[in-house]
Amino acid sequence: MSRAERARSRMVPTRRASFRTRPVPVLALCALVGCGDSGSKPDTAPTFGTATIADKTYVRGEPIPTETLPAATGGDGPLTYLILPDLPDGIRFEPATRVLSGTPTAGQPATSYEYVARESNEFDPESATLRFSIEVVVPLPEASIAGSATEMNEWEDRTGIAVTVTLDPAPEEATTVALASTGTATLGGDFDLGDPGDAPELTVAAGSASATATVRPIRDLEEEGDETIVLAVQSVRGTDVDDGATVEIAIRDAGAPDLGDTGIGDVDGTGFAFLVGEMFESFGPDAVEFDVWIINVGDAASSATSAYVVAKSSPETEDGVRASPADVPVPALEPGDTFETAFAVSLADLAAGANVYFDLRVDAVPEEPEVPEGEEAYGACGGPRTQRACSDLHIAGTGEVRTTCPAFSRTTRLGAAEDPLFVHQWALSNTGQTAFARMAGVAGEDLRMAVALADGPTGSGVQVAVVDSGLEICHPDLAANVEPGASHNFAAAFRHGASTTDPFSPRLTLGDHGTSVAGIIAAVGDNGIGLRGVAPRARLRGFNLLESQDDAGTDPDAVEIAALGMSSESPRSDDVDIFNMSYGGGEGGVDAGADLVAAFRTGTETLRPHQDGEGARGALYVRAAGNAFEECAFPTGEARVDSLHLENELGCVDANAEGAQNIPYLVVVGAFGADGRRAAYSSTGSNLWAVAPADGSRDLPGVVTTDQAGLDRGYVLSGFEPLAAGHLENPDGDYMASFGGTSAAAPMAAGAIALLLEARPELTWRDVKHVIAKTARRLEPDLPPVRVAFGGKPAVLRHPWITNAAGYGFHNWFGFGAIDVDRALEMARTIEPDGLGAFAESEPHRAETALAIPDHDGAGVSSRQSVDGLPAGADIEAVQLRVEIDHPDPGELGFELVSPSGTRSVLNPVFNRAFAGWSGEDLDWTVLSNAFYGEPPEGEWEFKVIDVWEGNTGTLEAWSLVFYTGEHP
Amino acid sequence: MDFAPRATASRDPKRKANRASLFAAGALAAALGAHAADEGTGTGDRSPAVFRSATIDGPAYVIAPGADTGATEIDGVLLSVETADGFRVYRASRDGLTRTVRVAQDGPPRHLAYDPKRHRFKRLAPSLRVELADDHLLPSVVEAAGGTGGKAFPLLGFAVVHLPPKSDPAAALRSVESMPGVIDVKLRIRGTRREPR
Repeated sequence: MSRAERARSRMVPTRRASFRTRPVPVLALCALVGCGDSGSKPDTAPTFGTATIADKTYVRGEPIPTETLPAATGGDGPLTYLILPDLPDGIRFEPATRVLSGTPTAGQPATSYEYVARESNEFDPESATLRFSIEVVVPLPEASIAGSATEMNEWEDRTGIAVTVTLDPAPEEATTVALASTGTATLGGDFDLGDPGDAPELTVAAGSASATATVRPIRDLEEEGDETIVLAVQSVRGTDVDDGATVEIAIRDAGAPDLGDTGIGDVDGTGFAFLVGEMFESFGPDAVEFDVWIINVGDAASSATSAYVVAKSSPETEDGVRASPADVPVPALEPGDTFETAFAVSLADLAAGANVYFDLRVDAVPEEPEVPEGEEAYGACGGPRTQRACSDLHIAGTGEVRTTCPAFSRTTRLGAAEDPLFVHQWALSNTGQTAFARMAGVAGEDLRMAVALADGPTGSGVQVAVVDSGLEICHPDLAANVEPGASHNFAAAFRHGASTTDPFSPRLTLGDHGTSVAGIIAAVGDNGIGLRGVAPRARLRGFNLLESQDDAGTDPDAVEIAALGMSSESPRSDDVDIFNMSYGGGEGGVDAGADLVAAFRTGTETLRPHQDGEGARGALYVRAAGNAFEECAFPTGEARVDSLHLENELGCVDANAEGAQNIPYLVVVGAFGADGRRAAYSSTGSNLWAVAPADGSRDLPGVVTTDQAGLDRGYVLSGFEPLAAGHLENPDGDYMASFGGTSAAAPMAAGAIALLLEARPELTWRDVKHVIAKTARRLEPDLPPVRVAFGGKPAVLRHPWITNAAGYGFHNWFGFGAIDVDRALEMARTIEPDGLGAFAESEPHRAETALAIPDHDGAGVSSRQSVDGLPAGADIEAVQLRVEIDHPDPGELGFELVSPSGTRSVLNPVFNRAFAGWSGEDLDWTVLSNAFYGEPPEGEWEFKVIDVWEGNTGTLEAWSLVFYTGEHP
Repeated sequence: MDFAPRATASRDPKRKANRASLFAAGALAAALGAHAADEGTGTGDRSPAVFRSATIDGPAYVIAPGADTGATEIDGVLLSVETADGFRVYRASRDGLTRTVRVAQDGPPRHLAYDPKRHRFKRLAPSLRVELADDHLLPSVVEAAGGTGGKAFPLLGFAVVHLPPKSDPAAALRSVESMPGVIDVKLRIRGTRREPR
C-alpha cells in the first residue's frame, strides 16, 4: 500500500458525499456518550450539492489557471477543506480560500484526487467529497533525426551508418522514440537498425538529448539495384507524431558475385581441361623409376598430347636427360579421366655427385586460363601451374642416390652458449623484430612464454614424434635431441642404401619439411649455434610417412597407423608422448578411415601409461588445421575469384574438409602471424582447438627454424629464402627464415605441450586440451559476424567471438584462441590431474527428418531433437554432427547447430570449396564442433541447414549427434 | 608387431576374439574364381572380372588387372574394360557420369578399384588387411599371400600384409581368405595423398 493510499484509508474511512443521514453506527455512539435532546437542531452532514470539479490537465512548467474550488454546505460548525493525496509538485491548494494555483514542475499521469470538506467536530467529523483527476503532461520534445552519411555499400560497409535522434528540449526522463521504416529497403531483410532483430526504436536516456543506433546493410548475393532506407520519427513517448522528421540513406547494391570459377553453384565451373600429374618414385642401385598418373581434374576434355620426364641439373633449366620412354602419348582425357604410365631414368645417365631435378611434363594442354594481373598461380614446381609434377634427388659421388644422413660438424660461436638466431625467433619472443622480413611484427604477439624462456621447463624427457616427410637425425642443431634408433624410414625398402632408422630425405629444393618442423619443436637450446625450439630439450624422432607415399609399393594408411603409436617395434611409436602431424589431405564429405579413428582413440586410451600400470594418460595428437582458407578456385588454386570477396571472411576450404580432423582426439591448430591476426591462409572451422604462431601475410616474418643441413640442399635453395645459404647468419645453410603454414603452427603447439608435460607429467591428454582452452587468449576480438541474406532472409554465416554457456570463448577462426604458454603452465601446475571425470562417448542421437531444404533461403530448414540419457553431470568436450543429405551440390549448404544453452556453432560454412567437383552422391558426413565445450549436453538441440544458391534442391534425410563428455569440476 | 618372412609373430587372442568381421570375404573369392563376375550382369559376350569388394571404409568395385574386355553392371554402375589405340580403357558409368582410366596396353598390370561413393577410380594399396584368430598365424598368411612382410597391430585387432608392388592384391586375397584362423581379409584402397602443410 502506498503512502497516499494509507492516508486515504485513515482519513476517509466510509463516507461518501451523497450521504445525508447519520448511519446506524452513529446512533450507537450517541448511546454511549450522549447526543443531547433528540428534538434539537437536526444533525446534517456537509454536502457539495450538485457541484463537481472537472478533471484537469496541466502542462509541466506552465502556470495553471487559478481556480477556486466549490464550497460545501451543512455540517456541524466550520468546515475545513483538503485535497488527497499530495498534489503534483508545484501545485498548491489554499484551504482557507479553496484556491488551487501554482506551476507544475514534473510530469504526472492522470491521478485521482479527493477534494474533501470536513466538519471540525473532533469526535465524529462528517465530510463531503468530490473526485477529480489531475494530469500533468510533459510537452513532447521536438524530435529530429540524422545520419552520419547518406549512402553505404551493401557489401563493403561493415561499420554501418550512425543514425541519431535528437530531442529538444532534452527530456528529464528516459524517452522512447519509435521510428517507421518506409523506404524501399526493408528492415530485417535489407538492413538492421542496431542489433539484428531489434525493434525500430531508440531510447533517449534521462538528461540526454540524443540517442544513436547503427544502420547496417544486410548483404546479399542478388542483383537488386540500389535501395533506399527511410526512417521517420513515428512517435515520441508513445504519442504519435504527425509529419515526423525523416532521414534517408541509400544502399548501393553490390550486385551478384562472380562465382564462376569456384565450382560452387555449378559443379562444372572450371570450363577448361586441367591435367595434373602424380608421381610415385622408387630407386634402386641402377635406376629411378616413376609410376605416373595424369588426371584431368578440369571440366573440359583435353586433346591428345604427350608426356615425358626430364632429369636436369637445375630447377630453372628446361633441358636435360629424357627418361625412358622418351615420349608417351597421352590420349584425350574427359573430365575425371586418368591416364597411367611409367618412366625410368638410369642412374648411369646422371652426373655423379650432383643434384638432379625431375620434371614430369604434359605438353600442349589447351585452354589454360590466364592468371589475372596481380594474382598468382601456384604451380607445383614453380612452372606453369600443375601441368607438371616434379621431384629432385642428390646423386652421391658413388653414383647412387644419397639416402642416409651424413655427419656434420659446425663451429659454435666462441665462448657463447646462446643461440645466435634466437633474436629472430619472434614466435617465442616477439619484440617487433623483422626477422629477415620486410615488415616487423607486433611486440607480444607470440607464444607468451617469457617466464618459460627464463625459468623453464624445457620439455626435458618428453618424447615427440615428427610424423612428416623425414627428419635429419644428423642435423647439427637437432642431433643431440634425437632419440637414438627411434626414428623410422618407411621408404627404406624402396630406397637403395637407406637405413630403416634414418628417415633421411633425399629431396633438395623442396626441403625436408619434417626437419623444419622438428626445429620448431626441439632445436637444441643454448648450444652456441643456430636457434632453439619451443621445448629445447624434448626428445625427437622422425617417421617419414609423407616420403613413403612416393613409393608405389607402400601402403600409407598402414604406415600412418604404425607411426601414430600403434607399433611397439620397427618402429617403436607406442612410447611417444606427442605426435606432431603437420600434414593433411582429404576431401569434403569423406569421413576419416575407421582404422585411423581407432588408432587415435586407442592412442588416447593406452599410450603414456600411468606409473602404476593402471590406465593411461593418453598421447597428444597435434594436427595442422590446413592452409586452404584462400584456396578458392578449383582446381587452379587462385585466390579471390569471388568478386565480392566473401571468401575473405568465410574462407574457401574449411578445416572440416579432412575427416581425420572431425574427431575429438586431436588438437587441431591454426596459425596467426606476427601481427597477431589470423594468417591469411590458415583454414578455419568449428573443429579448431587453438592457434599458434606461424608466418602471416607475405611481408610479415616467417618462422625461423632448421633446414636441411648444408649449402647444397634444403629450402634455402628455393630462391625465395631471405636467410639464404651462405648468408652471414646462415653460413652453413642449416637454417631458414621463411617456414610457415599451419605446418609451423602445429609444432609450436606440440612444443608448448611438451613444456606442460615436463612441468606436470601426470596430465592426461584431456587435461592438456582443457588447460589450453582455459588459458588461450582471444585474437582479433572485435571481428564482426558475417550475415548475408539469401532470398531476402538473413543468415549468420560466421559468428563473432562467442562466450558459451560454460564461459569459454570460441571462434571458428581461432578455436579457443592463441596458446599462452606461461598461463597454461601456471594452470597446469595447479590443477588436479585426471580431474575431468570419465571420458564418455554417447550413442548417436538420431533424428530422421526427410525435410525439404528450401532453395536459396537464408532461413533454411530447422530440425530439433531432445537429448537425454547421458551421464548425470556430463559436460561436453566435443560434439560430432553426422548429416545425411540428398543434394547435388553440398557446397551450397551451410550447417548450424544450436545447443540447449543457446550456443550457436557453424559446422559447415556455405561455399565450402571442399565440395568443388562433388559428383552428386548423397552426403553422409560427420563434422565436429568444439564450441560447446563445458556445456551440459541434455536438452533440445536444433540443427539448421541452409541452401544459399539457386537451382539445386535437396532433402535433409536425417541428422545425429554424438557427444564426447567428461564431468568437469 | 612387424613380420618379415622368418620373423616371429606375437599373439593377442583376446583382442581378436572380440573383433567382428565387417564384411564377408567369401563373395570376393567366388568372383575371382570366375571369368565373369558373379555379382555383375554381363552386357557383352564376356564380362571383365569385376567384383564388389569390401575395403575397410566401404565397398568398392575392383577390376582384376588382367580382366578381359567387356562390361558388367553392379549396383547401377556399369563397369567396362576395352582396348583402343594401344590402351586398355577402364570405364565406370553411373547416372550419366563416366570415369575412365587409360593405361598402355603393353604396360604392367594395374590394380584399380572404383569407389562408388566418390565416383572415382583409385589405386589398390599393395597390401591386405587381415583379422586373424591368432597373430602367430601372420607369418604363414604372409607366405601364402606372397607378401614381403607383415605387421600386426594388436591394439587395433588386425594386421597388414605387405605385398610386392607389382603383385595383384586381389589374387593375394584369394590365396589367404580361406586359411584356417583367417577371420577376415580386405583389400585396401590407397588413401588420399597427405601433403605437408
